[in-house]
Amino acid sequence: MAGSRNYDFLIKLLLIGDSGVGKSCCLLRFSEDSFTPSFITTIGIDFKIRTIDLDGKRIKLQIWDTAGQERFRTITTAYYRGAMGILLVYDVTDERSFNNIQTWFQNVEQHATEGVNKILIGNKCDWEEKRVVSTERGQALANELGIPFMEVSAKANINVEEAFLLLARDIKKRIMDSNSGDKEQRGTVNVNEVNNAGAGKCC
Amino acid sequence: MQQDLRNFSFQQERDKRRRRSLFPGVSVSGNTRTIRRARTPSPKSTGTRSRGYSVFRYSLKGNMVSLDDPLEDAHLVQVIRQCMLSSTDTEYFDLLIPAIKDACVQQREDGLMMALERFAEDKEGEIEQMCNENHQPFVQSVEQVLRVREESMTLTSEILKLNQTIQRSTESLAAKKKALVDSRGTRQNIDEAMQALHSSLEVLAAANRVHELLYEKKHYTALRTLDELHNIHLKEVMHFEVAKIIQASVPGMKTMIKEAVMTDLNHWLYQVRETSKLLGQVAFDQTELRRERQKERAEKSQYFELFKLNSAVELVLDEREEFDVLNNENVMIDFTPLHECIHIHEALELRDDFRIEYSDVRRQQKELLLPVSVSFREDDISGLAQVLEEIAGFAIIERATMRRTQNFRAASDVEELWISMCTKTINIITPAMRDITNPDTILKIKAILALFIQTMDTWNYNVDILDAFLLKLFERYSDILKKQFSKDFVEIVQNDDYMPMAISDAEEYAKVINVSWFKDDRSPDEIEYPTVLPFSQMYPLCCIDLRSFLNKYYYFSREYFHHPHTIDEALRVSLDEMLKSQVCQSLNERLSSKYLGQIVQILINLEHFEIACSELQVLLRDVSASAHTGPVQLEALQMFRNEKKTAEKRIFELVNSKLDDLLESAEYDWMPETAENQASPYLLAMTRFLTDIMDTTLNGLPTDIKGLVYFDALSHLALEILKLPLSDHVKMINKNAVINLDQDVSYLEEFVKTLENEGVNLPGLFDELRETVNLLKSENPEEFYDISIRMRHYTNVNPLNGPVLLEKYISLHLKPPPPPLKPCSLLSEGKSNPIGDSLEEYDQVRCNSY
Repeated sequence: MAGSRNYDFLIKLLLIGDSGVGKSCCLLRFSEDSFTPSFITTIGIDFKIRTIDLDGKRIKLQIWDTAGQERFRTITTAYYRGAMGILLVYDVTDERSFNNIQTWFQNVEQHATEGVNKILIGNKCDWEEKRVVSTERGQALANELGIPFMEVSAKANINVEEAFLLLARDIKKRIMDSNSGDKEQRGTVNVNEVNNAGAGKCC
Repeated sequence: MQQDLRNFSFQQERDKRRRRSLFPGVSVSGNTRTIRRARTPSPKSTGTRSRGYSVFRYSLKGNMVSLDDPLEDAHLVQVIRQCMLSSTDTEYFDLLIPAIKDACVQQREDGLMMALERFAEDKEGEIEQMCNENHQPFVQSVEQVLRVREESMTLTSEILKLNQTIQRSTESLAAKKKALVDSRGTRQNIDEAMQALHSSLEVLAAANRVHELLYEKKHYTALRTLDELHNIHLKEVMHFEVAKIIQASVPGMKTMIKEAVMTDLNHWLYQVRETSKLLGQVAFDQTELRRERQKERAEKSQYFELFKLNSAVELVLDEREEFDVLNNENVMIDFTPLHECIHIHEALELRDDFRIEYSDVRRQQKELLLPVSVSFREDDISGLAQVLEEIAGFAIIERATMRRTQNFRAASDVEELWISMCTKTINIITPAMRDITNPDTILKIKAILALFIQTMDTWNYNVDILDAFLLKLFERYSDILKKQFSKDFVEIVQNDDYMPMAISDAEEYAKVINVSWFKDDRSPDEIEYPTVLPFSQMYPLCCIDLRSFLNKYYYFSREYFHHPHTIDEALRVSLDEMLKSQVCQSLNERLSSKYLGQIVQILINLEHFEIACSELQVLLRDVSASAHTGPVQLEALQMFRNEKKTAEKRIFELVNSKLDDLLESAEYDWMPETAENQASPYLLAMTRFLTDIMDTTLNGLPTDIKGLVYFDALSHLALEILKLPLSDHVKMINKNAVINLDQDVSYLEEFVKTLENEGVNLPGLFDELRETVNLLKSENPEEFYDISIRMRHYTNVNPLNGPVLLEKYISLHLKPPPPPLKPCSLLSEGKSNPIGDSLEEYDQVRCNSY
């Protein structure tokens, strides 16, 4: 075992959604709390690490950022399987990206592990004058898909942290649920689990 | 008898003489008888008778002389006779007196007396006889005489009367004569007055003529006339008061003439001033026409390209085109008023005064000519153009005046004015220039200045000071260009998407190829659109800017610029500076980015900029305006090379940090109860990630760099994996752990082999790891301490690490197995690491292990 290990739990997340919806920006905001108004498009695949403290546990989040462009679809799809949680991101100022969520969701259903946690994210919620997708429609879609929903803004730092934490908590809850049955020794987790469940509903 | 007659005649003559005074003009000749008869006394002529008596008495007395000696007597008679015969009284006395003397001497006076008396008696008898004979005629004569006398009396009174009459008529004549004389005097006076008037009129006419001529603006004629008046006409009439007045007015009139010509001149100067701008324009147009003609010539024959405007050859070739800028359909400058003014002043002997005055006036005009400032607001240079036209017009007139007059305009004066105008122009351009931000405005200024310089050069003005100013202008131009392009470059670098450039069609492709220095390996025919070019769009955009920057520098030297080397040098320096600080440095700053894709793109772009740099060096040498230049060196070239290395390092760094991130999730259990039959999930994830970014993010990198990335990443990985069992936290290692590690190393060796099959050469990457694992696997690990065996099998094993690991491993075999270590976390329990990389792998591993 690695004695130098500095975390208790590793969670792997995946960001998907149309090109330009702001996946990388959300990740940058979450991982480094910064924002660059650049036009840089993600090519292929990238990931970032952030360790968070969740109910006294150090959770290492390994968040994979995928290219939204169609030409990288083959590569990015391969990463679905390893993901414990998936963030489906659309742009509230881009109708198309919202409509494509259905497709992305189908991809998830098709390629990701069964039972993977998902969340619907509507980015750029600060840009009200350009908004074309209302919060209600977003919420409606999330309800339809049966997944949580949040509107965020990487630029204005609205709800990004919360969205990731919400997903992380859900995953932690799910994994711990599954593990608590198998492994009785992990009593400590049960205690935490209660806390997690309460925190998860904050949004 | 004859003697008597003679005596009588003598008497008569004597009477006649006596009478003559009483009766002038009355002849009494032929009356001898009459007088002889008068011997007889007549009552009527008492006076005459008495006289006659005395004569008689004398004669009687002579007759009474008695003669004693007959001989003597005869002689005496002879003498007396001779005496009587003498024709004149003198002769008479000359004969008588000696006879009387002889008689006196001889004492014979009586004889003589007697002779004489006898002679007188003889004569008296003769007379008596005669008188008797001539008595009657005598009386008649007397009567006639009386009558004559009477008539003569009458005549005398008549004559007196006549005389009186004459006297009277003479008086009127005299009066008339006097009147005549008086009239003559008057007439002479009148004549003289007329003459004087005439002269005066001439003078007055001349004086009037002067005024008329003045009125007619025939100033020189007026002056000549005035001189003539003064020197000729006036002198003739100087004694007249009017002449004095006119004389006194001559200086005044001269002043009037002077003033009149000065008025004319001032009018002319005013006109000249008004025209100077137009003149400047015409001169500029003319220079432009000459440029065109020179260009045409150069097009026809390359030989003529050698000659610039204003070169001797050009001037000769252009001589055929006769055009006088001072006399054409637009501008007509007649120097007559100036010439006349000079002429007049010369005549007035005031030439020097006039020269100085004219010089002062021109100086003042020059001051008025130049504005205090010019403005280039809204890139409008018309203000400056006007100033230059004015100056050109002014200076051309100065030069023309110099050429058309002699010793009138001092060359030094004209030169001084010219230099002063140039200096002032420069002084007003310089501050206005600071506000210019558009390089095209500077170009416009340069163009108009060049036209000005060439025009003025044609007129033999020294343009050095302006040439020097062009350098300053160029510096400013260069600064503005640098600023502008720097801004552009920064914007381009900022706005770039750092993605390989997508090209949608052949047209776009051709555009990019044309502006950039990119050489595609593919032939244009085989390209299918849309296609992608390796560099991001910043590269062609920068290329466009670089070329435009280059061109704009040389735009400055179009038409006229005498410092080609300055441009070459300034361009080289600026371009280098721009490439270094704006392009290279901006890219370098972006190397701190955490986007691997961006850095990869920067590296690729740097590569292309490096190529562009070498091409630019060649281009700079080729377009260089100065003839002899060596190879051009751009420092940016080396800088791009260096930055490429930096970018490479940054890529390695980023890839390695990603590997480190993944490695952190490697959870080796060094005391597993069972061995795995598959490589660790983190390694699977790592190799997949490496392969994926190699195919996507790093795809554009050159193959050798890709190889380096693999090499760097994998050697880093090997090093890090080796560090894991060496860690102080790891106290013991069991056989299963070694089997697992062996499995991982084998997996990596396989991965490298696959890569080598794809052409990536990665020799000896895992040699140390492999030999270390082999050592641990060895049945006789103590062989490591045998130097010969170690050198044969474990040459890559670190001599210090080997024993450390062996100790951890061996201690396990020597000592009883220690109790299993307390798991660190809930999920990392067990043989495999479920959170190693993904659930999938976790599941897989689990399945396999069962």
